[in-house]
Amino acid sequence: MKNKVNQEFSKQDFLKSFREGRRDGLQFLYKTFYSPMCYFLEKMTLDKGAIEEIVQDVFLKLWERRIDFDHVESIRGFLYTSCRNAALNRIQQENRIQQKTNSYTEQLDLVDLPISHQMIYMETLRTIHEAIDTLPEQCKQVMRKLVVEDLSPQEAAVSLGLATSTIYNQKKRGIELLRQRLKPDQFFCLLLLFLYY
Amino acid sequence: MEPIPQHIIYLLSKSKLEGLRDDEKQQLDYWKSETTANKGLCDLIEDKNELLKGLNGISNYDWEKSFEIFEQDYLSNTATKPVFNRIWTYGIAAALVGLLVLFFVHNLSDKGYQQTPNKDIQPAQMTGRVRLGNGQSISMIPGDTLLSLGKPIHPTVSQADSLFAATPRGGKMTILLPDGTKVWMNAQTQLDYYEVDSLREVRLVGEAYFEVAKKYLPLAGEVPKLKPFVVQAGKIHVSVLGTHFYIKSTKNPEDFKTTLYEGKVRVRQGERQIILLPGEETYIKVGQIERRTTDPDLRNALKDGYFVFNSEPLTVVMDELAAWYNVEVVYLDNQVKSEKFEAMLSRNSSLKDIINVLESTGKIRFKFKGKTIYVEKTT
Repeated sequence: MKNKVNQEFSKQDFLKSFREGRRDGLQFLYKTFYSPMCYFLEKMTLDKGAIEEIVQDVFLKLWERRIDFDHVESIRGFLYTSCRNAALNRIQQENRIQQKTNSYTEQLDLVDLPISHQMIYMETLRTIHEAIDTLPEQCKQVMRKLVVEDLSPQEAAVSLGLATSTIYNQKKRGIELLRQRLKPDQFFCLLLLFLYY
Repeated sequence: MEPIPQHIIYLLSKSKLEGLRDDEKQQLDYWKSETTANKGLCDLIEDKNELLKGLNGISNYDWEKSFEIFEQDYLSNTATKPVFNRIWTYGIAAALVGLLVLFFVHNLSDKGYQQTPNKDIQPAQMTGRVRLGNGQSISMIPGDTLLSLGKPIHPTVSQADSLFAATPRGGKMTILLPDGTKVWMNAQTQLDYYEVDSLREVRLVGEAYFEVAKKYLPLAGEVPKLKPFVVQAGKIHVSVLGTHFYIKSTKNPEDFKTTLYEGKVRVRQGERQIILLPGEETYIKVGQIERRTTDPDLRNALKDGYFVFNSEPLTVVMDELAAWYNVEVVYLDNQVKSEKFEAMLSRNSSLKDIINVLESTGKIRFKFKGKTIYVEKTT
């Protein structure tokens, strides 16, 4: 239900609401981007406290400058780059002060990619996460098992304690719902996103 | 500036969720073959473990909790009063007009004020909410005395090693953290607690008094080591080893204060640090932490139920009262803001009693309208 309202809202002009300083506009952005942004910083090996602080600060900056944003694309670019810059600053600072001995060699995979690709990766994760999250509860569980954990319908049935036929039915339903949900133009109508430096 | 192809994001997501059509698959394969970075990214998406970690990772962060704090700190004025929204849109000019109007209204409708506060304005009650690491929430209601999170209150409430507790305006809470530390939380205070093997950490926005329980690290050694308890207040860290102390850390960094009653704490701000002994406190002077001694007889304000104002400007006094009694404050005169007050008052007093004391200084006068207090200079 909640998700439906939210989707409706995205089709209307949430951006207008945001720029006018209304709570629901900001809430929509928060809901959409907060958690992915946190995970993005987690990949940069920051701890949870620092991550949440940085992301909240970035949202505050965004809120204070809301008049400047004409497109969702520029908001998204602003969020990723500001979070990343703040995280880099923080890492540098902590290195200098505490001489942290943590090795940053693990998880270099994502961090090794160019920033543009890091963003594509995060946005893909976000899209998948959001899409699965909008499904009805049982359907969501089944799709998680099949899509994310890559189980076979039989394995998923055992793992969830459901009949295999239920798994097949839910899978069919899930894909149907996702097809409606996932449209190329749904949210970012432009195909380009600009990074702000 | 560098363009990001939204279409690629769409194709990648779709490949996972419902599978691609043949032509889409070709497009993606072509893109993948273009650069090594593209290929690296596609491989990363194909990595089942990474994907699972990523999706779980995203679910680990709770946007609602953060938004709640954000709302309380930065939106409270604009969100609840739609009339004010336009002020933002039209900017400062409109705000000035608003002030003029307020001034005008004030002069015209002097009779609208009451001389005494509304009867329903009460001191802070035990109210607040605690959310445990496992997602369960517990509320504290007036009449409760202590919320113990140390041992399962409820058979279903398992021992949590992280929790988030918040009091609204006009609320207070006394809670026992899972490690046995007792915390007195003032109105409008948020506390984020988590415990790992090597330390206990609290992030605090607001005011609280702590009685930290001594806890030892699980490591086997000849001399057991105490498990550190660290309070993070903005950019300042206070590390503690079994101790009683008070911290104030509001969104205004200049307000930061920590007072030690027992034990020893280390206060660190960047590279600067101060070790406090009982009866000492740190405060902020020109953005830096400084040490000073406090009156040893002065009992702790929050724990023992007093407001203690030690030559504080009126704004500090009124902010404290506004949070405790859940009222709004409007200054009809700007000069009075910096007047200093010294007082020790019971937190159980009615607002009227407190106002009487403040008025008895002869410097200021109060008027009331609903839940708003108007402060003016005595004429």
